[in-house]
Amino acid sequence: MSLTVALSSARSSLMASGVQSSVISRNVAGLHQDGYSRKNALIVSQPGSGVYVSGIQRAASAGLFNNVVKAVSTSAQQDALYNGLQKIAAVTIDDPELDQSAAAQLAKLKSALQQYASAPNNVTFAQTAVTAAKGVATALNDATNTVQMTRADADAEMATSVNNINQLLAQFETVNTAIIKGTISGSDVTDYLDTRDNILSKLSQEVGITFATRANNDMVVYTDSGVTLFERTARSVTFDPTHSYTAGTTGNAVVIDGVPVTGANAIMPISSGKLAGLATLRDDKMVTYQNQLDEIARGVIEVFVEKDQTGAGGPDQTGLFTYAGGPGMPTTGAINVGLAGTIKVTDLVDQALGGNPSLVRDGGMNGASYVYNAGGEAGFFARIQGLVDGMAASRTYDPAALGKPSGSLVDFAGSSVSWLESQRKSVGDEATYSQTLLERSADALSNVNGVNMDDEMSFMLQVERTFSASSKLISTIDDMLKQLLMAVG
Amino acid sequence: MATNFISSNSISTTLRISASKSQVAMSKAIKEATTGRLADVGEGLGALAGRDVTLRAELLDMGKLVDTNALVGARLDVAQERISQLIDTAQSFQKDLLAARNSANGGGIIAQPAASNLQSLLTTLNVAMDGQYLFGGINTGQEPMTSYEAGSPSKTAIDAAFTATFGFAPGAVGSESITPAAMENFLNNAFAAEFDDPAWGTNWSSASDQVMRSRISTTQTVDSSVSANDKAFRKLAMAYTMLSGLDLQSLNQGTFQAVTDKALLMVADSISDLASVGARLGTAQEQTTNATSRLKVQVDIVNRQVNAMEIVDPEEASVRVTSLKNQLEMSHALTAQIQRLSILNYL
Amino acid sequence: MSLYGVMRTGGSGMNAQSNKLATVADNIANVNTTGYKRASTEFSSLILRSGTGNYNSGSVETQVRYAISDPGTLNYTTSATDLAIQGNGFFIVSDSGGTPYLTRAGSFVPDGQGNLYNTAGYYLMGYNIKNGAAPDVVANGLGNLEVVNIAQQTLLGNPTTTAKLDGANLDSNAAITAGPPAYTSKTSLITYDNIGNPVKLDMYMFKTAANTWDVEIYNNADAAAGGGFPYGGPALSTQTFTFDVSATGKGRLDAASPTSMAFTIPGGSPFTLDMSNMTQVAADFQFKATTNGNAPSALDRVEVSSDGTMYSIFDDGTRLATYKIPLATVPSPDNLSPEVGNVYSISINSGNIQVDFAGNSGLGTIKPEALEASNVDLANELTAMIESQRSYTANSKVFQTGADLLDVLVNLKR
Repeated sequence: MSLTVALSSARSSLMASGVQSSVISRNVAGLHQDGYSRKNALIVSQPGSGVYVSGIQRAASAGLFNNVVKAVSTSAQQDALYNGLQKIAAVTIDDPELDQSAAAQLAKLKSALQQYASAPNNVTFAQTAVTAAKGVATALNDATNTVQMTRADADAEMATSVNNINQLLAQFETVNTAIIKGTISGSDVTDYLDTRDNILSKLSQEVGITFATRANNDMVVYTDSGVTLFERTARSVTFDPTHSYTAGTTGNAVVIDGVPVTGANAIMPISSGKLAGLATLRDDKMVTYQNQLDEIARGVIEVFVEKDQTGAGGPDQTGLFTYAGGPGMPTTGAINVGLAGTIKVTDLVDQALGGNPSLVRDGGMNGASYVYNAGGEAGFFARIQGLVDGMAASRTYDPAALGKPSGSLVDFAGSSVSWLESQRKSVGDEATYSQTLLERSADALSNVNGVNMDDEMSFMLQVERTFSASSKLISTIDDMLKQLLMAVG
Repeated sequence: MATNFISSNSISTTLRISASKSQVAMSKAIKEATTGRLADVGEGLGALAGRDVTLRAELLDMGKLVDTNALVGARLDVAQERISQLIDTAQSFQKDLLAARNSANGGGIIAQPAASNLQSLLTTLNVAMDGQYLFGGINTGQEPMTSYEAGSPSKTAIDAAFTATFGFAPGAVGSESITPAAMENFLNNAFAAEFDDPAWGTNWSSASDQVMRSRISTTQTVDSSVSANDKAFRKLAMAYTMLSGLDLQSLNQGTFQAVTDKALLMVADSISDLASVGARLGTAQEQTTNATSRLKVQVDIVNRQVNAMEIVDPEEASVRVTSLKNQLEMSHALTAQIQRLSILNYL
Repeated sequence: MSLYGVMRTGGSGMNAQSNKLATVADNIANVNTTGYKRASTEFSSLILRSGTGNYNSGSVETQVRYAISDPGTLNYTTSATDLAIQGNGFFIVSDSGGTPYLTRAGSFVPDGQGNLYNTAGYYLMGYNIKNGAAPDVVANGLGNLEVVNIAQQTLLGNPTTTAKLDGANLDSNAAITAGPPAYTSKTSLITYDNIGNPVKLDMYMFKTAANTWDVEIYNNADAAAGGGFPYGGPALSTQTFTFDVSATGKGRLDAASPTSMAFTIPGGSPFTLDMSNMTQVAADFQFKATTNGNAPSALDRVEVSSDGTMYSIFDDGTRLATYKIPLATVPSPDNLSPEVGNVYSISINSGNIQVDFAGNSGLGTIKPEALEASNVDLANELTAMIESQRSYTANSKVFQTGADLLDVLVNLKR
C-alpha cells in the first residue's frame, strides 16, 4: 500500500463524506416538507482506491404512495361533495328549530290558513296567511337560487380544477422527461422523483388517477376509469364552463382525451377526485334536490288551484300561488323543471300592490267565474278550510324526485329534508373516514420515506468522525512525505 | 426498518392532528353542553331530519289549533251565554204573558215588554266579537238583524200583510171586529210567512243559514256558531212581534187571547228550541275543550319526540368537554415535551 | 588496465544512476498526469572476463522499464467523457495524421467539430453504430474504426414500429355496446411517423358480444372537433378479439383469436401492436403499452456505459447508441513503446494488437466519469532518488579513487 494510494483513498473518503453531509443537509431541509423522501448516499468501496458515491438512493414505497394517492382522491371527492351539500343544507334547512326549510314554511302557511279559517272575516289573519304564503314562495325561490348558484360554483370550480390538471400535466411532462434522461444517464433524479410524486398527489386531488412506471422510470398516468391522462405527452383535458345556471341547464362534461368523463353521458366516468365530487354535486345531487323543490312548488300551486265555480267547465287556473307560466296550471303528475324558481304569490292578494288579501277566502283571482264566495259572506270559511285540507291531503309526486312518492305537502317537503340531510350525513361520515384513511396512509408513507432528525444528526456525527479520521490520515501522510523530503534535502 | 423508524414529520403531524381533532370535538361538545341540543341537528339526524321537520310542523299545527280553539271556545261561550239569557227572558216573559192573557187590557200591558224583548232579541243576535257577528252564520261581516221599527222593512211588510188580510192597518178602526178564527188564520199563514223564507231573509235577517264550522283538531270539525235564522229565534221573534206589532189593545178579548195563546205556544216552542241550540253549543264547547286538552297532550308527546331527536344530555356533553379538555391538555403537554426531545440539545 | 577500468566502471555507474534519476525526475514530474505509467530503471551488470589473479571491472547497463500494465488509482470526475479503464486494455486513439496509438489517458473533450480528443491531442476511435448497425470488429486490426464524434449532425427521429402491452385488461362486466359512436373504453397511444411527428392513435374497445371485443384504432388527427366520433377517415385497423373464459383460459385471449394488430401509421412505418397478453377479467379497464420510436429532438448529452457503448441522450429522454468504443490490448503491454502524450505504439516486443469490447476476453470495463491517475508513488520515487543519489556519490567516489590512484601512479615517475 503506497502512500499515494493511501492519500487517494483518504481523499475519496473525504469526497464521499462531503456527498454524505450534503445528503444529510438535504434531508434536514426536507424535514417538514410534504412529499420529501429521505435520500441516502450509496457508498461503494473501490478495491485499492477507497470509496466512491455510486448514486443517491431514495426511500420510497410505491404501494404506500399508491394508497396515499387513492386516499387523497377519495377524500377530495367527498370533501367537494360534502362542502356543496353543507352549503345547501345551511341555506335551505339550517337548524330545524329556525324553521327555514320549505317544509317549515309550508307548516307556517298551513297554520296561518288554519287561523284564518277560524275567523275568515279577519283581514289581519288574511294578511298573515299571505305573508306565510310569501314565505313559502321565497323559501322555494331562495332554495332554487342557492341550488343553482351552488351548481354554478361547482362548474367554476370544475373549470379551475381542469386548469390545474392541465398545468400539472404540463409540469409532469417536464419532470418526467428530466427523470427519464436522468435515469438513462444515471444521474441523481431523486429530487425530480419527489417532485413528480408531488405532482401526482396534487393531480390526484383533482381527479382520481392510476399510474404505472415503464422502462427508464417513464410514467404513464390514467384516470381511475382508465382514460389516458399522460403517455409520453399530456393528453388534452377540456371543459367548457357554463357561467349561469337555471334549473333546466345541463352543465358541460369534462372531456379527457376525447372521452367525456363526467355527467350523464360519460362513457368512462371518473369516480374520485375533486372533479368527480363537483360533477356529482352539479349533475346529480343538486338536480335531484331541485326536482324535489319543483315538486313541492307544483304541489303548492295545485293545492291552491282555482276551479271554475259556474259549472261552465273553464280550465283550472293558478290561485294564490302562480308562476312564470301562469295562470295556466303546470303539467300535472310530473316534475316541472324550474317551477320552484318562478313560483310566487299572486299580486292580487298583495295589499302593497293594491291587491286584496281576502281573495284567499273568496277566490276569483281569475275572474268572476272562479269566485268561491258567491254570497260575499265575511265568514266564508269553506274555501280556506278546503285549502287547509288540501295541504293536509295526500298527493302523489313524481318518483323521479326521489322523495316520498305520496303524502301531504309537508310530508314530501320533510322527505326532501331527509334526503338532503341523509346525503350530507353519509357523505360527511365517508369524508371523515377517508380523511382518517388518508392520515393513516400518509403517516405510514412518512414513516417509510420521511426524515428523522435524530437519525440524521447521529448519522452526521458518524460522517463527521469519518471526515476527521480521513483528514487526520491526510495530514499524517503529508507529514510522512515531508519527512521524506527533508531526508532528501 | 419500517417498523422501528418514525419520521419527525410523522411525529409532529400526529400530535398536530390529534390536537386539532380534539379541538373540533371540543367545540362541538361545548356547543352541545351549552345549548343542550345537537351541534348540527341536520347532520346528526341524517335521514331522520325530515321526521324532525314534519314533527315540528305538527307541533306548529297543533299549537295553532290550540290557539284557534280558544277563539272558537270564546265564541261559543258568548253565544251560549246569550242563548241562556234569551231563555231566561223568554221564560219570565212567558209568566207575564200568562198573567196578561186573562187580565183586562192585557194587550196594553204585554205590548211594552214584548217590544223591548224583541229589541233585546235583535240586539242579542247582533252581538259581535272581534268584528265578527256571532249569529250571522257565515255572513259575519254584516249585522244579521235589522231592527223592527216604524219604516223598517219587517214592520212595513207585516203591516202590509195585516192590511191585505183585514183591509185595514193594525190598530185601525175595525180591529175589534176581527174574529179569533180570522186572527188565528192570519197568524198561521200570512203572519207566519213573514218569519219564513224568503220574507225572513229579506226583511229581518241578513244572516246565512250556513253556520261557521271550525276545525278543532287535526281530524275534527264542529259548528262553531248559530245562525240568527235558526227557528228558535224566528219563533221567539214571531212571538214578540205578534204581541208588540199588532196593536193588541185594539182587538177584542177573544181575539187577543187567540193571539196570546199562539204567542205562548211560540214562546214555549222557542224556549225548547233555544235549549236545543244551547245543547248544540254546549256539545261543541265540550268537544272544543276536549280537543284542546287532547291537543295539549299531543303537543307534549310530539315535543318529547322532537326533544328525543334533537336534545343531547347536557351532563354527558359537559363530561365530554371535560374529558376532551384533559385530553387536549395532555396532548399539548406531550407536544411541548416531545418537541423539546431532540438530539440537537445534546450535540 | 584495471585502474582505467575502475574509472570507466565508476563512470558507467554514475551514468546508470543518472538514468535512474532521470526516470525519477520524469515520474515525479508526471505524478499527477492522467494515465501516466511509471518508468523505472533496471540495471544489468556487464562483467569482463577476468583471470584468477586479476579483475577487470566491467560496467553496468541500464534498462528502462515501463510499468504500463500496473493500474493507477481512479479519480472521480463529473465529466461524462472522462473515461477510465478498470482492468486491462487501452483506448485506441489516433493523432491528427491518423496514426493509431494506445492510451489509458481517458480525459476526452470534444473539439470544435465534436471529435473527442484527450489532453495530448489524440482522437478517440470507435465503431459507428448510429444507424443501428452492429459494430464490425476486426479482431486483430484497426479497420472500420473512426473518430468518435459527439456533435449532432442530424435531427433524426425514429418511427414507431412496435408496441407491447405491459398490462391490459378489458372489463368483463361491461355492457355490450351498439358500436360507434358508443364505445366501452378508450385509450390513446403516442407513436411517431417517419419524420418524427407524433401521431396519436385513438384506440376504442367495443364489447360486441360476451367475451368478444372489437378494437378499432383511429388517427386522432381525424377526430371530430372536441375529440371522438365521427372520425374524418376510416379506422386504421379493426380487429375482433375473443377471450377464453374456461378454467384453463381464465380470461386470456382465445387460442383462435388474433393476438396483434398490424397497420401502417399514417406517414409512418408498418406498426405491430402485440396484444397477446391482453385479458378480459372482472377488473377495471386498463391499458398500459410501451411503444418504441421517438421524435427528433436536440442532443442533450452523451454518456458511456461500462461496455463502452456511447449513447446520445436527447432532450425528450430517449437515448441512442452512437458508438461502440473498443479496447485494445497486446500480449505484452509493458513492452509497448511510449510516445509523447501518454500514448503507446506497438513495438515488436509488445506483440500484435487485439481489439475487442470492454468486459470481453480479459479486458477491463470502462468506467465513465473517472480518470486513471498516474501510477507513480511519490514515496517510492523519493526513496529511489535518495538511493540513486547515494549510489551516484558512491560511484563518483570510486571514480575519484581511481583518479587519485592514477595520480599517485603518475607521481611515481617524478
